[in-house]
Amino acid sequence: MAIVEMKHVDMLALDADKPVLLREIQKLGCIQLLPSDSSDASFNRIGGEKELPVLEETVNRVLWAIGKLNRFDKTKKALMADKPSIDETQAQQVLDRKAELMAVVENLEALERESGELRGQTARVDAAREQLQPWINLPVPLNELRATHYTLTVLGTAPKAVAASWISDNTLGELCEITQISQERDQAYLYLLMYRTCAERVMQTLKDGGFAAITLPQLPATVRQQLTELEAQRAEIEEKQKDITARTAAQVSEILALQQLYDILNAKRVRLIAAQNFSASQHTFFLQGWVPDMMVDKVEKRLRKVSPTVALEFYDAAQGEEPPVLLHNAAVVEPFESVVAGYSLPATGSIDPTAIMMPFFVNFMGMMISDAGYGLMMAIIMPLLIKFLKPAPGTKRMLWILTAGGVATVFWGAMYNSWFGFAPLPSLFDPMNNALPVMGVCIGLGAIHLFTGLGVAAYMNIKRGKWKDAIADQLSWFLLVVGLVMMIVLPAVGKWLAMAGAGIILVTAGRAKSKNPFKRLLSGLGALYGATSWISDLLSYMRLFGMGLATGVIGMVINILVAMVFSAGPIGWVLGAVLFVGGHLFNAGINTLGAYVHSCRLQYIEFFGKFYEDGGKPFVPLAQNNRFVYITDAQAHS
Amino acid sequence: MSIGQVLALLGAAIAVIGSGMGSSGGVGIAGETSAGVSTENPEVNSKLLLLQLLPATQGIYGFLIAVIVLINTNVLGGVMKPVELYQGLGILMGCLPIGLVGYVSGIKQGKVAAAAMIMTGQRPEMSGKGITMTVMVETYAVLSLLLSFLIVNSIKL
Repeated sequence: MAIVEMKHVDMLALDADKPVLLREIQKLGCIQLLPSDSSDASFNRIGGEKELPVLEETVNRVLWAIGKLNRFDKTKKALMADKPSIDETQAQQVLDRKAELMAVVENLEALERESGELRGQTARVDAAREQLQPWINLPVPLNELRATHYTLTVLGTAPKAVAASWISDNTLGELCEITQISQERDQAYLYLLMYRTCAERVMQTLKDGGFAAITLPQLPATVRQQLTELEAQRAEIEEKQKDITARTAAQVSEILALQQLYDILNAKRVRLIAAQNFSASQHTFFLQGWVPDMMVDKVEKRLRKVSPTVALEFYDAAQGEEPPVLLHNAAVVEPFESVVAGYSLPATGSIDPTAIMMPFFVNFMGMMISDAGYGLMMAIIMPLLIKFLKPAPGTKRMLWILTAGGVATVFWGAMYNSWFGFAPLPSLFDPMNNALPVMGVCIGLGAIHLFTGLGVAAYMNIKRGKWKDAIADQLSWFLLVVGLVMMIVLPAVGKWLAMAGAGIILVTAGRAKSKNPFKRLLSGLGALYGATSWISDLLSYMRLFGMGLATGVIGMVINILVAMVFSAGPIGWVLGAVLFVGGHLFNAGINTLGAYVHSCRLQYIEFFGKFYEDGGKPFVPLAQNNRFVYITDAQAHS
Repeated sequence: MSIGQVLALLGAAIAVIGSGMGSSGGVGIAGETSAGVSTENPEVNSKLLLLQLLPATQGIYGFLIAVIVLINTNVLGGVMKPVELYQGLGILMGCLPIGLVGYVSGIKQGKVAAAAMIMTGQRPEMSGKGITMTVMVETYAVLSLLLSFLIVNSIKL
């Protein structure tokens, strides 16, 4: 129900025991390691791990191979399913096959190299084809386009219009023959045959007209033949690529083993990286970290079991130190920690708001989904999903939040009298035709929510012995807001409450800023202006009404449409049924999303704004953060 | 058909057109960014999907107001009730808040959602804050929905 108390742990152990101790710590998963710092001069050996660079490379190679094979993995993955588990004997078997599996990786790498080479060839062939394509109609083999004793041949491009004028009005003279082979966009591809005697003059004219000469490889074949040849080459390369893909796909049977190998090796890599932070002497090493108070006994017992000579010391955090933050709540509340973490963890020494927040969160969700039918669906289906799909922890938390929201939705939906968009019972609470009472309830709940936040802030102030702050910052606002509201119904009392509250704020709000009484009053006035933020905070709860209304009206519209379709006879019945199910699923989906998001917002901005001290650093223990497979710990249950 | 009836229908149309344009614009902007961020960091894709859906609500609000107009004028019942000129004008006024605010806030929210997506792509742990930022814009769409609803529902035919 709170932020877990953390203890320091210091550990001194024999170097020989380091691997087993680290493995045990990783399996326990409840010690966050710190860079250890020993003042003893003999602890100066640098804890470099020689194995690490090689291991990192291996891990990366295995991961690459998994990515490569993933595309060919056709095994069906169950929806939302969690990672599979293997036990330690199975893990050892995988490790025994390491050489074999690394051969698979090597094979994949070789295939990748081959494929890369082929891609290079494809690019070269394509470039050659592109260069030759415009000359496909050149009738002679390219190596016959040589200069002779009297003539020169030139190939090149020129702007289309210019080339056309050269050809039509014979600009280049009788001693030069010009032929257009093809054209592409605004360029003409030209073949020129000229006498050497006039070459200089012709070339000058060409250059002035924007002619660019092109040299083609001098091969003993026509362009058309060469292109056919290139085409054949390309087909052959593609054939080879297909073969490589097939050979890669053939390795897919090993993907599971590779994934297991990755997780086993990666766990070791994480251990070695952690070990770099230890200070070490000739034969011992020294480790420091944080461990949750409640785990101290278990940690001690388990570590002594694997290494009898280990020296352990547990002690409290020093004054002013900020241990990492871990939240711990009852199982029903625990999933809502993710909502808090979505904002930010509470600062060390402040309060875990999860349990206080949960009832508000759930009820706000219920008011915004506001259809008892949808609520029933959620409250029944979500637990079944948890039971039968066995989803990963994150998904499971989300499903549990939706279950709780579903239960609250049944209550609020019944209040609003909306069951899949129908209103079968006399309505207690009708947002459509009598909106004011519903709006009143929304604002009223908002006020309770905000005052709860204020109460938590007051509690924290009092717990820290700052009862004056509790009066000045929390009680005053409580009096002012309650007084202002009471002025509507009970003006005599309300007036005095509001004035008392306003008075306290006026006098105390500037106390930290200045000693000058005049300046203090001025800041007090400024603080009173903060009353506007209370108005906007309270108005913000109108979204409970708006979102609830939206669900109800859309549900109703779906039913009207279904009724229209339904009247069209047997086909209409089928269409109507589809429309009914699809429409309500859509409405439930989009409104649940909206309800979740807006419920979060009301906590983060309105509620947390009143008291929350965020900025705690999360507790990150050395643990098995496996990616593909869990490795179960044989001793975990002992 | 009387001019009052036409004005009421014009109101319903404006509510749907304005908010629908806003939402489709917003979801479009967010969707483009989502596609871009997902190519860089496919793991955050599900978080981005949530952000992309946030600007979709304005269109629903506008549709909702339009349907209330159609229910109140009994268009959905088949025979439209007579609507006087000033009643029609009143309904038209009622539709303006969600039509106009829905248009602007939908697009603006889409832009915030897009920015939040880029943030989530770089720092996935910030996705909660990104959603909060995006929902901030929504407040004004909700307020205009409420005002539209109160006005439209106050006009008794």
